[in-house]
Amino acid sequence: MTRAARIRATTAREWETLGALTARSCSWLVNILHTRGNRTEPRRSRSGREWWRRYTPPYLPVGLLRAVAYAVLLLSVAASVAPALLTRSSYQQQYREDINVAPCARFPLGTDDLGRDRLTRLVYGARTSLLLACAAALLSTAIATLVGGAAGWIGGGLEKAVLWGTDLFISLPWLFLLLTVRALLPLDVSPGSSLAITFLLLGLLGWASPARVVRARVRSLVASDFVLQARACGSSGVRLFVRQVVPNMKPVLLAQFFVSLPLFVLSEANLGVLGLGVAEPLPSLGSLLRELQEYSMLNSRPWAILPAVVLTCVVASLHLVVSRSEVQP
Amino acid sequence: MLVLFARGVSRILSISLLAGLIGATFVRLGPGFGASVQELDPRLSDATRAEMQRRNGAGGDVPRYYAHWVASVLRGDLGFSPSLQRPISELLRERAGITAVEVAGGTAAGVATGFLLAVVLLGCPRPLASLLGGLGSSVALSVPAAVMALLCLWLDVNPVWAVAAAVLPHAFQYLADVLRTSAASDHVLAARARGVGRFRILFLHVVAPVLGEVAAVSGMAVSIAFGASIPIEAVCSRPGIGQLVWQAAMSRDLPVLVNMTVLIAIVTIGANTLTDVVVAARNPAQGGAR
Repeated sequence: MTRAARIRATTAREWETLGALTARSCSWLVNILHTRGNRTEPRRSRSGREWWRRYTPPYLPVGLLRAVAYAVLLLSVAASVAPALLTRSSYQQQYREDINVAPCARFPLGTDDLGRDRLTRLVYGARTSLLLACAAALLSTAIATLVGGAAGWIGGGLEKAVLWGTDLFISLPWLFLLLTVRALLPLDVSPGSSLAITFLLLGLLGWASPARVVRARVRSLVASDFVLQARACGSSGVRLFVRQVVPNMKPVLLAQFFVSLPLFVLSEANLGVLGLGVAEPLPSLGSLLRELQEYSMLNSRPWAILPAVVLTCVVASLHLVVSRSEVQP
Repeated sequence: MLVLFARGVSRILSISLLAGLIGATFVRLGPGFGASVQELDPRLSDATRAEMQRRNGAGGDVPRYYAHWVASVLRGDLGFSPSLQRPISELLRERAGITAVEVAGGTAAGVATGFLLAVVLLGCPRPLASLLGGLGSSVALSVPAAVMALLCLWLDVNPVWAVAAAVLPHAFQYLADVLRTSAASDHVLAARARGVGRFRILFLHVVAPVLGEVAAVSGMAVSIAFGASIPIEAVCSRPGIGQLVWQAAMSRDLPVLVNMTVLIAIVTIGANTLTDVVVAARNPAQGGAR
């Protein structure tokens, strides 16, 4: 393995613990309001100064940052689940008498050059991108579990072949791989088909790094004491794998899922800008960015940059929420 | 070191052949292989159309198509681009320089800036460094390369900086971790206990031991820079290899894509091998251990 591949593997190993940490972070608000550290310790009354010393640096800035990240994600999830809560019109409805309108009470973000409400398209675009990323992350994690799990469990030649394959996948730039495989598929397709193609593309090509992590985890589990004990008790084969190994892989799989999300949202955005993502009139955060290619219009319509800002906020929030340094200040 | 070099070369060769085979398989099995827009012309006779189909589908099944590709590589022309109507080797020669400058400049600028930021933040209090580093790198990681390119165009800045911006957060995150580990090591504690000066500790005992890691990160960053160069060149209309890849993808110029897959695999694996050789030359014990 090359040094760079080893760096990637090291980083991947670091992410292994993220599943548990991410689960922990969900109870962050509860923790900060009640106890931090030893939970069995009885609560004592503290002076204001001690409370301040204990709960502000470094926890307050990081906590505030994470609270903002959670708020952004909550809003994005709300937009994904129920876009009708935020907007009433349809994403393809054209107001022909209101083309390129500036933000006003009727159109809070104005309209585009086809007279479509920008806010509506942004909300539906966020929904498309987030749901697509979630589905693709699920698929890639499932493939990584199968491939990495089999390689780690069976070992030998299969393990070597899987490692070699992942090396090849990782050595090619991700966006290039996406572009190449996308180009092999029909380009002139319906919006629904383009959505399915993008989802499959991200899901089927994003398994390499997670598979390495899963393989490493399975190898360590196979060598662990409790698996040895289970073997000694007569458990073997599929039963041993399903009962002893799979439950202990849950944190790793959860982490891989969450780590894949921002990557897939960004990849969809890059494909969308290049015209190889979700097809019109279906909006996605990536396809909304295509409009920015006429960057000179930003001088007259600066609000058109909002999809880029929303995309950055959502992806940064995802990064912050799953980031180890933020979970463990 | 020689063994490492030989291993790297054999790895490049084997992965190139495999990448070519995978590319050829995908191309051959891809829907619409052998079809072209010209066939839809109603003025063409059936015989002409059949001849066009025969020519477009040259190579037959996967092994024959692969052999056809290997022969074109050995000839040196790398085949013919149907969309641009020129030999692929010519296209590469014209465009390689622009992308090489972009990738090399972007990698160097991104890694150097990331390293400098990591060193500066090492001197800051831990919570502040964690906050600034975490927030900064998260935001930088969250901006698509295409948007970076648009910002460069809007601000009238060289697109090399967009490539650097794509590399920077990755390099920063890794190097900040490495520097933090180095700063917490025993020999640094011993140097502090002996009263060695702050800057001497920083540069001689913390930064110097991790310079090999900077070289290693540069190797990894080449792949990131290459990936970022595709949307950047497409958006900024730079006639480099990234733009060629994008044009080939948009016009389904599959021979160009197969050759690009192999070329990019060679460049990224070559950069990683070179990094390994440089690190091994700098630290023979580590190289020998591998």
